[in-house]
Amino acid sequence: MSRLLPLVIALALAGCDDFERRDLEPYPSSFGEGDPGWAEQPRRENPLEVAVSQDGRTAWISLQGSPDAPGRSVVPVDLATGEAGERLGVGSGPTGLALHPAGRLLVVLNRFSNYASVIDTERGRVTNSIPLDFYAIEAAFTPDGAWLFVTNRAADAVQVLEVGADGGELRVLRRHPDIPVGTNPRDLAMSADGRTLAVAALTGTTLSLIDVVARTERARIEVGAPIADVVIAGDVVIAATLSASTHHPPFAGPDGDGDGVPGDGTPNINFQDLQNELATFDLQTGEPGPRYTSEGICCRDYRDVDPRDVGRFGDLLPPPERRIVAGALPEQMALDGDALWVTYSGSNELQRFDVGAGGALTPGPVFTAGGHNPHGIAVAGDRLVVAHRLGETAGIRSASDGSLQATVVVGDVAGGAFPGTDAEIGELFNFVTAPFTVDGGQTCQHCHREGGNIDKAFSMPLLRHLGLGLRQTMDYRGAADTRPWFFEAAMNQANFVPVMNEFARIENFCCSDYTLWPDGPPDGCAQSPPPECETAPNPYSPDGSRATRATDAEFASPRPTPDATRDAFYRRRMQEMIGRTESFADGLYWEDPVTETRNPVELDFDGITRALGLFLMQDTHLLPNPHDPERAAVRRGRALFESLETGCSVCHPSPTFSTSTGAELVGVRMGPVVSPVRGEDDTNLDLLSGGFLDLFPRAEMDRCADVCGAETCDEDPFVCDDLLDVKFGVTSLRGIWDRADGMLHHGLARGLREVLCTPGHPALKEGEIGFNERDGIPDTHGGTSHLSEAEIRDLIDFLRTL
Amino acid sequence: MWSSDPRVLPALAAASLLTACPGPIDRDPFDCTIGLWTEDEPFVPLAADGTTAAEMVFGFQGFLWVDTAIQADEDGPDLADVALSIDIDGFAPFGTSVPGVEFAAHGDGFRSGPVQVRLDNDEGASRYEGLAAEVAMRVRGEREEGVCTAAFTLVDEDPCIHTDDEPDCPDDDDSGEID
Repeated sequence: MSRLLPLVIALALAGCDDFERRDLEPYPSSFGEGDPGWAEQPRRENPLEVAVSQDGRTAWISLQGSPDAPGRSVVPVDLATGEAGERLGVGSGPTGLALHPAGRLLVVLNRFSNYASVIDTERGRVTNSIPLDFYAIEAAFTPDGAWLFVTNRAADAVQVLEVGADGGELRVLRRHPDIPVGTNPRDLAMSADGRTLAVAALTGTTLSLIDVVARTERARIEVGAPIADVVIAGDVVIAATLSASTHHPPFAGPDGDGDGVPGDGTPNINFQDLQNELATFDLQTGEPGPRYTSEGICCRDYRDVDPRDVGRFGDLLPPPERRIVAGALPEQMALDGDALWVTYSGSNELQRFDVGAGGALTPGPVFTAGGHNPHGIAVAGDRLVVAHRLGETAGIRSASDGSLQATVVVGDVAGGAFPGTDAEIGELFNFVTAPFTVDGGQTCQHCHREGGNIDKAFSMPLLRHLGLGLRQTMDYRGAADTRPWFFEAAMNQANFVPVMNEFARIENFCCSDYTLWPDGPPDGCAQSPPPECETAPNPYSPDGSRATRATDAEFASPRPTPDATRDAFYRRRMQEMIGRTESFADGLYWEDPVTETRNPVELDFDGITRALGLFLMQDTHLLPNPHDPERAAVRRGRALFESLETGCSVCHPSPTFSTSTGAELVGVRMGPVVSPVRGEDDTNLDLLSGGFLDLFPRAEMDRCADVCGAETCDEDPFVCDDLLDVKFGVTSLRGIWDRADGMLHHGLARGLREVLCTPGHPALKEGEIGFNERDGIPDTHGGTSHLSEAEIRDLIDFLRTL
Repeated sequence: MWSSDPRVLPALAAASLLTACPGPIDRDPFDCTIGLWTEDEPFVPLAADGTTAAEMVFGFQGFLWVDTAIQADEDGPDLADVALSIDIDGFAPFGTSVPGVEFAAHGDGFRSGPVQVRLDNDEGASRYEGLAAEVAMRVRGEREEGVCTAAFTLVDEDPCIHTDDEPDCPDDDDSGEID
């Protein structure tokens, strides 16, 4: 009887939502009408996740919208007729969908509301709401329907509800303590026996196994890459993830894979080491099983390792039978018996795999999605339903042969089909980058998941000591706050070409391959490619970087695309994807300086770079802040932030909390306020390459000749690299509450406490390091050594409200 | 951000100030001159007949550009956005924007740092060798605006490529060829 009491009470309260329902408000934008490139954008609804009714007749699709314009609807689709039904109003930013095992109730997680909406699928209407914290993302029921487990992005936890179904409503009987998991958990999967819950941390790159009965985390597995989705097939967890690479060369740089030797254990370096993976783990122990990787892990880019040459790390490549992941950015998965379907959001594809004993995967066919940015996928009897997040459509496909049977508009195309503006062209590139990469497998989203920053620092090509240094992944949220210089305080929204360059370097294209044509290609090469474009192979790279054309090279791959130039490659891809090769000229144009007439821009490498920059500027992309700014601790923290003693607000002034747009100290750069990453002989591994400094004259670094004298530096340009420093810009603090734990330029500080505290500060917890020092001098990143433990806490509380 | 947050109004007000459309702005005109920028000389005046040689840099990661600089009179800005175009003999004109060009006081006026005119690097520098080019720039400061034009001849005299940290020159190896 005692177990029934809560249910009785809950039933008595049925029909009463006895809590205050609230929505979060988007951040105000620092980029708007009057700013160069700004243009009115059409409203989009971004269909995200799919759930299917138990009878398989109806698919329910959440229309999430964006952080700046959240959706508020769920739409049903009649799978027999292929028609979208009347939308149901739910909370702000509907995201995950969880069907109650009894089949009648559908829970809609509203990420920007403090409640979930419950849909009675029999009556086709929203019947009640259940209270939750902001940023509930996805949910899973136990097989008996008595427990609901919810991932919460803001809390970095799984929230546990005991629930009771009452006809067309769902009631929370009791909320149990949260279960902490990795940073920014998103997707989760319940085992068939209801005993284990697998939880994927998108930012934190970890997989948690939860003991459902004990409601504790049984294991946390470092996967080394963001995990987009998990499914459980028998005793195996399958995680849709990416390469664990940190882009360092094998046996150099930090020990990224924790094996006790330098390097991350993967063969390639830089962006060509971005791979797409399906990783398997034992459901009980979390022990890793086979990890399947991209079929394009070699040998398309000239920098790829040589599979036949141990000297070029060919032995580090996984065996060919594991190179079976055909698309870019495995996003969501659906099991259908022994078949595993995977959407590839970064390449507009989906693929079928067969799941064998022990979770062994055998690759099946690859299909074109039929809509941009495929995301959620669900099985509906003999059909599959796929939501196309950017395309505003859903695809209905045969589950037996994968063929596309119907495409249904479920979102908002009143402003025209996507992409309908130049910023939307940039948005398409941002999420569906792979068609523009020479190996067909890389995307911007590999590192900037959902606009955030994954908890990983990488080696970047701009570093002077290539493959040794670190740069923390940046989020692109709030990019307009630090414009016009938002990468390394030197690149602007129109010219961040070195980042884009990694996807398709010019050395891979015949007419721009300067190793093939050291004196320049023949006239008209691009229009009439000479025979060498067919016969001469790609160059190769002994160090994974510099292109070489050596006659004795055994391995030099054929050209990765049929295009003679990179621009031709980009224009062809744009024509295939959106049917145009010029910008709309609503935001992306070149202006004749004399006549002020505006001209469309070709969607080649430069044009697409600028379109992407426009997308980054157009909206804040900042996730609305869930933290209460009116708490007393926050007010105390604000006073500390604004005090002269800490000096925080000098470099991080409101409203953008950076020294850029709207602030007095526009574009200020300064020497490092924390210790650089140092290598052997104290070499400063933060330094920038000379080539990068030439290309971006705004970037600033000490000159060897100025510090150690020209004569000394002529003999050895690296002789002073322990004494040189690079200058940095000031990051914006807006949205810092959602950033990855790895902070500062190198990502080595773990969370705000380590950023703020000086070494040995009493506020530090056991094992934590205070990073507020430079080469042993404390308080170089603001004065905090005098603050008490409670004051540090208050300061952090304030920062989390920005 | 909570909708009941009393800071929302001031924040929105601040944001609206940041984003408010001021309508067409009447900026004060100023005179500007385009020159070349080199490592040794921050402003190299251009000959009126367009014969001044402008070296193309085949630089980091194979990008191709010409470094120019802008000189403004005493009414010039200290920070400006530049809309530029380049018309190379035999090629279609094209242009881009360069936001956030900083100017420093110099003599009676102001002088910018390097303003890169990026060229299509699809087929290297050789196809532009010896060609005449006209460049135009509209320089917009917060309250100032100037338009300047110039002409030069594109050359590729530097035998080295600068795609990496250190220049790669023909004499760097025995073969006399660039790797």
